[in-house]
Amino acid sequence: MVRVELDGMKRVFKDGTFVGPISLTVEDGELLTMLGPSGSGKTTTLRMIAGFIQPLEGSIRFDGIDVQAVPPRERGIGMVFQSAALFPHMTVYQNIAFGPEMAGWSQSETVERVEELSEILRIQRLLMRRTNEVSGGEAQRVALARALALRPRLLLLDEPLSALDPQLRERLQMEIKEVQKTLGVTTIYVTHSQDEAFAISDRIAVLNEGVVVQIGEPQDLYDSPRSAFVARFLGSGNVFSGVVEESSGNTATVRVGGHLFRVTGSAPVGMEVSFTVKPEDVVLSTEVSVKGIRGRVLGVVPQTGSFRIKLSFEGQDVVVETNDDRLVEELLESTGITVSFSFSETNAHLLNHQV
Amino acid sequence: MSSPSYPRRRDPAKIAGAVIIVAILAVASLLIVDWMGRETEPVVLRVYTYDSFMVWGDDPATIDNRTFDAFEEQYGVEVRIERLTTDANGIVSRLVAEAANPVADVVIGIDNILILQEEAKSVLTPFTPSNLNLINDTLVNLLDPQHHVVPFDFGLVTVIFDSIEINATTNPELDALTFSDLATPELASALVTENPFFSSPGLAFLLSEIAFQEKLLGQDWEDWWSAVKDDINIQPGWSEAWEVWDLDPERKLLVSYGTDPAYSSWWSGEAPTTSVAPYHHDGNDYAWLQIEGIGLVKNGPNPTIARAFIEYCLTSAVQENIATNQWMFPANMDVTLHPAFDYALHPDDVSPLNDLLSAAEIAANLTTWLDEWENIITSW
Amino acid sequence: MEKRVKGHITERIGSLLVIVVPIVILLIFLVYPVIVVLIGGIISDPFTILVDTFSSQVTQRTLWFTLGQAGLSTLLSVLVGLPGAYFLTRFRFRGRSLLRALILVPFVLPPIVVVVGFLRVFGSGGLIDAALMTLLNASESVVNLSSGILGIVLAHVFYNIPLVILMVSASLERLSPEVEESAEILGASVTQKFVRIVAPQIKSSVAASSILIFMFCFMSFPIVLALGEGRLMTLEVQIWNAFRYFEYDEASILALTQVVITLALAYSYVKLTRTSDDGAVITSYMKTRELAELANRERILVAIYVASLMVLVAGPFIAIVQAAVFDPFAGEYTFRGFTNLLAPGTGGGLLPLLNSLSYSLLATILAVVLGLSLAYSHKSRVRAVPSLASSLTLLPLGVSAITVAYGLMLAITVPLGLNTNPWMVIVVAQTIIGLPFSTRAIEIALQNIDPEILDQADSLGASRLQRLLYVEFPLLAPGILVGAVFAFAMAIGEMSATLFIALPQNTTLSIAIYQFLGVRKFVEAGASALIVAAICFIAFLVIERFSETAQGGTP
Repeated sequence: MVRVELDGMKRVFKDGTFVGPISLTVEDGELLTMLGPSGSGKTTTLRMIAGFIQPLEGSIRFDGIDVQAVPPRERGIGMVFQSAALFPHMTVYQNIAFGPEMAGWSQSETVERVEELSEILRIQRLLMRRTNEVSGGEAQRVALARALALRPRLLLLDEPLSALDPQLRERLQMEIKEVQKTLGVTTIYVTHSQDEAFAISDRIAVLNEGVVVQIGEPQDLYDSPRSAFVARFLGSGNVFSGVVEESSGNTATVRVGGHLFRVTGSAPVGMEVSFTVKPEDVVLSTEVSVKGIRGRVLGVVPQTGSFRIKLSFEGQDVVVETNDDRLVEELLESTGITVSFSFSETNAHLLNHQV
Repeated sequence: MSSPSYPRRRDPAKIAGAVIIVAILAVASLLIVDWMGRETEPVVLRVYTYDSFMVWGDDPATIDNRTFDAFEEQYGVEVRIERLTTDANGIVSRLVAEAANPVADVVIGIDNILILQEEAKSVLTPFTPSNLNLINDTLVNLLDPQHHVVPFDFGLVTVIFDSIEINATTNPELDALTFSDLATPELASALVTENPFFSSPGLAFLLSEIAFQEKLLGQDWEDWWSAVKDDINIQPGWSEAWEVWDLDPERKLLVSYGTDPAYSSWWSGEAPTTSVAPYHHDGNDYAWLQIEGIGLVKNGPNPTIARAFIEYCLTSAVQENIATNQWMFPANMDVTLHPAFDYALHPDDVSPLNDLLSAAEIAANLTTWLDEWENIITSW
Repeated sequence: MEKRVKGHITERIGSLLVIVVPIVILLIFLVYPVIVVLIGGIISDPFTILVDTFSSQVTQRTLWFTLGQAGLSTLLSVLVGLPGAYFLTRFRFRGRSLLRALILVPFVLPPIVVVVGFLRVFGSGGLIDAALMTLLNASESVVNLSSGILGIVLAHVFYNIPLVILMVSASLERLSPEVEESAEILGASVTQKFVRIVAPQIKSSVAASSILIFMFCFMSFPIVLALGEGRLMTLEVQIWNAFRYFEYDEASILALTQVVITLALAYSYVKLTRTSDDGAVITSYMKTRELAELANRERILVAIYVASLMVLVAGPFIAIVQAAVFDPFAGEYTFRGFTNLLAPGTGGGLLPLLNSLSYSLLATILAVVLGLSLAYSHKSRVRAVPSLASSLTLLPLGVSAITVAYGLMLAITVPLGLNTNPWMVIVVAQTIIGLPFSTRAIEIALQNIDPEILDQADSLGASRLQRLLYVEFPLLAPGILVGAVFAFAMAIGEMSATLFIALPQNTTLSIAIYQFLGVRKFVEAGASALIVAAICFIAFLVIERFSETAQGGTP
């Protein structure tokens, strides 16, 4: 469909805050997610791609052609908002048919296209309804169908599912991904939910404070975050800070408080570094050895299929994920007890950037 | 699935079209009315007058035709009597506003007080009709010796009452009414008058009071108003005052015209229940003489025909319609009056208070008197 | 690429024209004439004129009375109107929307009609007096509520209650019932609930309607003229006094004073209504109750309130209806008033009705078209344009109709030679008078459009024109309709300016009423008044229907 390149795009707001410079490339047919907390600049970036707002600097190219001067309606995009933004004075059919009709398609072509999309999105029975007679999930399906009706080269989705309940959200994530793959339309998806990003994306660009901090496939980001921000934001990962005591090859020993940890990565001795460990890689034991690293249990939270345990260690929180029922039972009986934890050096990664 | 018939999008062009059609229809109908009303004759003579001009007869719808058709035929013009929804002051204001580009040729209704204003004179061209001898000289000179306007009709402004509710038996003072009588709480609370700022009978009443108190009695005219201001009822115009007088059982006296009994009798076909109470002093009855004039608008489009029209208006063809349509005395003394006028207060019955106040005195003091009156009336 | 750039330029020019053209039109047809009148009168020696005018005791009294009666009328209108707003928003009963439309009618009645109806109910010898006289077996008049300051204030209250009810009930409808319910759950008493929850919500709409009422009463003319009996004058009456005796300098300086005061009020009105919408929750459903759910005590209160409202608001209206069919001279019921009106022919007949309808329709269309582009100018990013647009919109509220009419006469009609048939100028005057209302209604509707919906239309490839025609206008439709109906009602009820400009061939229903009253044709006057009222009533019913169907529009 289209390959989108952002090159040093920057926008400054009245209050002096700014977004960018942002450079990233979305490959043809790819589904790229822009992930970040609110205020990180994802929506602004998306609106610059759509053309609703103009960047102060930098350029934006579709298939190598600069589209800066092209107004949104001529960029060949489809867009879905969190609020669905259905036209309230039209029926569902009229909403979906809006694009084709404005473009001057014939009635039969339009009907055919609307029926095709409504079949894919399973909203045929809604076509004659007014927009105030459809539910939130249905409204997003209609909005998606409407955005796709003109066969856009690029689909922009701005937190389309945030307002929906979790089950519905999961189902629709799958559907969006399916539809996107079927149609092969290049898609940029904005969300603040890492679950959603992981479920749906080919690649994820993590944004923070107006810049892309890391971009890559979901697994890569998860396994090797390059900054404490990404580690925390993606994996709810544990981030420890300390000083390098010893370094050889691709392993290093880091002192955190009074404890030594062996981690993967290299850094000069004496340097202050951070490293991260995912919650599921931390191993927990109720047998407290003198040598072992100890933490006090703060709480146990059940998850689907596992438990999340929060420990206090050296004044910071450490999150552990486990599905050991016996262990959890023990912990639940006596909250506040001290346990020991450990992780293998292959699961602990030095972070490149101090953020 | 069965192919449903999807609604076609409503075309906003159609709605816009509908609005445009409505607009065009409205404009077109206005243009058609405008065009239909357009001069069927090559020349249109516009006569500005006040709203109630000649509408008090038995067929007000045709009075213009009956009165002016002969002139139209003779001169091949269309006479349009433009009854503006205002009084003579309003007409002068309009003529002042239109001074740069006047459309009226003749104006009827400027009276002997209004003509004293510079603005009124400024919109008129003095003209002496060749048949001015039809009119009593005294009237002509009393109205305007320079003939900016010449008399069209005249009447007497005085106090009237409904003789069923109040009469010489209940109130003997009505037979010889003085302003001191009118200042008693009983009569003051029964009197309705008009605001001199908005109504010519109201202004006539103010000037009557000034003439009577100052000139006949040598008293300060302001004292009388200070004494009655909380008791009398002052309405903006004559018709509002008449309505109060008619509706409110408390208000039995009205400042109005001496011809009202004639109208009352003509209207009911019986002896009138409306009576007049002219002001009385030292064996004499007094009233204010109001003379309404007709004049030539300065720089009007058709001055020649306009002059002919003014002369026509002084002939009996027009003058004989005044009595029973306007309920004023025709300025042309040769006209025979309707028998109902036997009940009217005639100029011969009274001495005009106008004689006591010279035109120069009124012209010099009118604004001051009005401002002082306003000051007295609005004070708390 | 070339074509695209061109397209942009024409679009730019197009949107610039949309903003500039109405502003220029208003500068020519409103600002210029008003300046000609106001400045023309005082240019010779402004300072002396100012000192002379304001050192006069009459002027000082007038100023105090104008302010005082306006304040009192406003206070009473709000006090009487508030329960009505609450009642109409919170209770379900049959004929609710009918009552809502009916209660708005007084607002658009020509003031002269109000005066007649008012005198016939409250005046000495009127309905109330007559009833009391019979009751007390008195031969003299017992009570006269129609004269002096009492009469003026009562008439103003009658006139302006609809505004309070309309504006306050609109903000009450936006009060989410959940908020109120949670307050109840938290144990708030009725008073606490009112003070803490309801009052803050309606605060700005009460203030906005108060300012508007104050402004109307401040400018009040025919009512004060008729009921003030010369003793009580508003500035407007004094201006008219001065104007009639050709004291143009005094008239101008007073009119200028009036403009300054009213524009300050108008400005604060706009500030208040702009902020009032922020953060208000628009709910598609409200907390309503059935009348039957009321306790006896409440029922009595409601009954007393409705009864007094009926006397105050419906009384004069009923008097007008009666005047339309009862001939007081012949002492019989007749339809002559209506048959006379419908009879074709010159001098009355069908002409006033046709004139009224075509002038007000044209004025409405113009007021909506101008209002639309002024409403869009309020969103303009070009500096000074929004504030210029709002001041131009508000100016008609601050300048008396007579000043506008005289200015149009002096600056437009006569120089252009339109005075042989000034119907176009009448349409212009009526447009100007309806403009603040149409613009406000459209502006509010415009603010309520979700900007994402417009972005959506853009992203779907709609051209700017398509977006305007297929998305914005349909969404604005209810606002446009409300604005149109108000502009229409103002236009058809307009008398002062029309009367000043019109020649007999331009007679409208409102002028006809005035003329009929002048020659004591009460039946004809009543019938004309009733027709004006009925036309407005139908128009308001249309608004009601539309706002009800439009309610579920936005999810």
